[in-house]
Amino acid sequence: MSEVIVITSGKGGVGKTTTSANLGCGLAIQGKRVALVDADIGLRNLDVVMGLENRIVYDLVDVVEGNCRLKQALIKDKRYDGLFLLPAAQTRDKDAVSPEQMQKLCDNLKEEGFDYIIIDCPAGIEQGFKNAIAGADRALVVTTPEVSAVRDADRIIGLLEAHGLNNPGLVLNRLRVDLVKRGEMMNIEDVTEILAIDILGVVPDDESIVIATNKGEPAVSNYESSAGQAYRNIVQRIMGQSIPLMTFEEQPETFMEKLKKLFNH
Amino acid sequence: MKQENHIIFKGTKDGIAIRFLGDIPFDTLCEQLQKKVTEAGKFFDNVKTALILQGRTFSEEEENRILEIITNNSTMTITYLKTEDKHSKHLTDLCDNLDCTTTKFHKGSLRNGQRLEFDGSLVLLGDVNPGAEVRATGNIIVLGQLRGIAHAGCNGLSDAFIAAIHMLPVQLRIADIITRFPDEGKRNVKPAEYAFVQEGQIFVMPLS
Repeated sequence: MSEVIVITSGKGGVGKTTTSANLGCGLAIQGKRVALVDADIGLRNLDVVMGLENRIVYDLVDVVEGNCRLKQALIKDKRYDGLFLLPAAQTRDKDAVSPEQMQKLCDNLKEEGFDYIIIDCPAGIEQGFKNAIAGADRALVVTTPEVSAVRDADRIIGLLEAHGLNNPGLVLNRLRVDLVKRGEMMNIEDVTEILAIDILGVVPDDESIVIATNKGEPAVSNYESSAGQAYRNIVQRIMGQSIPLMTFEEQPETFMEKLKKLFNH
Repeated sequence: MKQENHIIFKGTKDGIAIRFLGDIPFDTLCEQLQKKVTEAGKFFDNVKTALILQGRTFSEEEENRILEIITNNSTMTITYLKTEDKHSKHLTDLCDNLDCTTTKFHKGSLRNGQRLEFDGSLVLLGDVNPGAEVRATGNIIVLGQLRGIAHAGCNGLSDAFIAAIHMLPVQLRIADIITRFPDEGKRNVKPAEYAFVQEGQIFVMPLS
């Protein structure tokens, strides 16, 4: 059984591509066969985040237009067996592909025997979005705890539902525990109260993500990173296991910090 | 000649309510009231209570006169005078007056960018999220959170009202009047509220 999952958000810059890369790698670590599809034609990033940019010969548009076979365009990942990337074309735009063609592409990928096909959706609600969700069986909405991102996520959920993709999973990305504790950032409840969909995971704001993304090494494989742990949990939940949400407790105080506090009083 | 009873005393949780029925001259009313109070004087012996006047609006002068009659003819102490709760009466009136009978029930929330319109009244079983819009030519009732825009009486019916369990809208519109909540501070979630037009302005009041 293969499943097509579209990662979408509406707003740009909330972490769709990072989430796609991490979930793709995470699922591959679990031994699944995964195809990552970059649907952001003209503004492709997923190849860079995966560190596979230099391997691109053919792309999604070439496959759709019949310039190459699907197998030729699929780039095998350098770290994990069973993980493949179908990059977007960089010199074309969203209109180069139609939703029908994307649907056909997804069907072809399913026939290739992938367990999961993860589509990295572009920002916005136009052609690129319509293409990305056309062949999806399930949707995952990424948002950050910012009012504007949550607004856009809400809009996207409405559009997904109109397209028959009901109850998408929610990934709350870049949560800053210190800000939430001070009441200066929306907390998990504030977000779910508005969006009213099941939360699939909460990813804390973590600099290891920035470092990993710039290196082309998804953080999911970093066992010291809390964000990596959060992504591993989401992977488990996508595979149907129920895992409790991470708790974000502050690190226990070190002896020196305690000492400092003592003197400050 | 049997005199019709135009005054009814009633105990309520807020105090003693006096309901004035019929359209009789104020002086006649005062006479009757005096009689009534004298008769019932024993019953209200040394009672300390609030007084609620219902069924008729009085000028300040008239209110004072009523108070005078009561205090002079009984040992009651009136702690404060409350004229009829205009707003709850208002809502009843709004419900009665509206000759808009068709009502649509909508199950499900409205998300950002979605819009629900109806020629009649609308009952929405769900939330209206920020960026969503409900429009009805009649009343709008949201059994959930109203965080978007609601426009009741959108064809110009200013008697229409908007009710919601959580009234936190971006904007409220009734007929051609538009209002928004003050920008400063977060609005505390109160019990169910409703909005209506009075003297060309939109007011928001608790439903109960």
